[in-house]
Amino acid sequence: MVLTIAQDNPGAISPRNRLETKRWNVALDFSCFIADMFSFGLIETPIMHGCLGILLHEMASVQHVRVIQAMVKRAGPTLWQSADSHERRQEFTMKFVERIKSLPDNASLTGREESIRKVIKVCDITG
Amino acid sequence: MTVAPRHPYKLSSDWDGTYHRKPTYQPIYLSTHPLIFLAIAIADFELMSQMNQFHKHAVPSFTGDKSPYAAFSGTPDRSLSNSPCSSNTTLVDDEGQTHRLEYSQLGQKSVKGTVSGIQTYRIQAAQSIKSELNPNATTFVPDRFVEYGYFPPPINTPEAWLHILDIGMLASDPTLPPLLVRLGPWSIDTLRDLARLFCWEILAKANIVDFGPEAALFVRDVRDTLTIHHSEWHSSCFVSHLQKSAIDHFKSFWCSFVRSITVHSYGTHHRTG
Repeated sequence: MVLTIAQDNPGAISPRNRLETKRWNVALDFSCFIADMFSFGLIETPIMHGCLGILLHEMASVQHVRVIQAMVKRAGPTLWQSADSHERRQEFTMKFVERIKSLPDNASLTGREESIRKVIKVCDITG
Repeated sequence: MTVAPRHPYKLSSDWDGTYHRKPTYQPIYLSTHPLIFLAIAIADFELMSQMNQFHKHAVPSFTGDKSPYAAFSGTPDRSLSNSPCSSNTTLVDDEGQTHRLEYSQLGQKSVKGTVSGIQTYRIQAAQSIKSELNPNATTFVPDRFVEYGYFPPPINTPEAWLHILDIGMLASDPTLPPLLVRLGPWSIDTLRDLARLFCWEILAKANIVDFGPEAALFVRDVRDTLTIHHSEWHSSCFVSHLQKSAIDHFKSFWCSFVRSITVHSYGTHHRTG
């Protein structure tokens, strides 16, 4: 018999948890480390897209936007060079814009417009 | 037990190699007669010769591992009251005889007494430490690092790994990956531990140091070196564990729900991820 149970992760960065600066720094640095490993060929493309998918799915604060931006930049253009890159990029773009719009008002993105614009530019979302 | 003699005129020179003459010797120079100057000069020359001879034999015993003075660990007794030179202000004509006398007194009393006292202290200290040590105690972490979220590395992590990763993940150094890979032998367990240690470096020190792309570059160089010096299997095993560890930590940060799979067969197996 196999049971699959979804358990709450109390340590996750979410609106329910008060975000500590130390934990945020570690989360950001570790996520960038994964992106760097991808750029050096240590992490495969599906895994990297899986990580971005998790961030998009869980997006609930401006921190999620920032870490997506940082990961996309550090991963480099290789992120969109797979066989299905076009579909992947369109899917990512659509989801990204959709999730940003769904962010609650208290997760203010004021002053982050440039950051978001860079993400869109790196991903060639507007192209 | 053989005790290295300690020269009375070298009370403060055992540790820094400098020579300090006792103050009781200096008033002789107040005389202005030329013959006295000559006599003093000859006596001084002989004295220095004797001291040089003495130092030639004494110095190795001060620095040797078997020397009881090694117990000092750089904290010599500099109190002048313990010296017969300080307590005995009589200046005799035959200074060589005086030195031999003082040396003999020191060797038989002061030195032996001091060494005996030190040995007693060391034995007591060792017994005290032995009775108070807790082999299961957690690694000591200074509060300053705890404030930044630092936590100790996995237990039984080789110190050499830590030192190499500390340097290699911050600045590119082509000599470090081969140095690390030579620290094998590499098994599936040690490769897993090494992969986890790379993740630990980021997790434990992200608030202390700034990691850049050099960290991942170092991981790649280690993987390539494993391939070159061992086999493709070693590098694949290392990367596989690295990916698993990295994804697990990534999910712990960003996934609000974690999937738990429970498999019931002949036995019971639990896995979370």
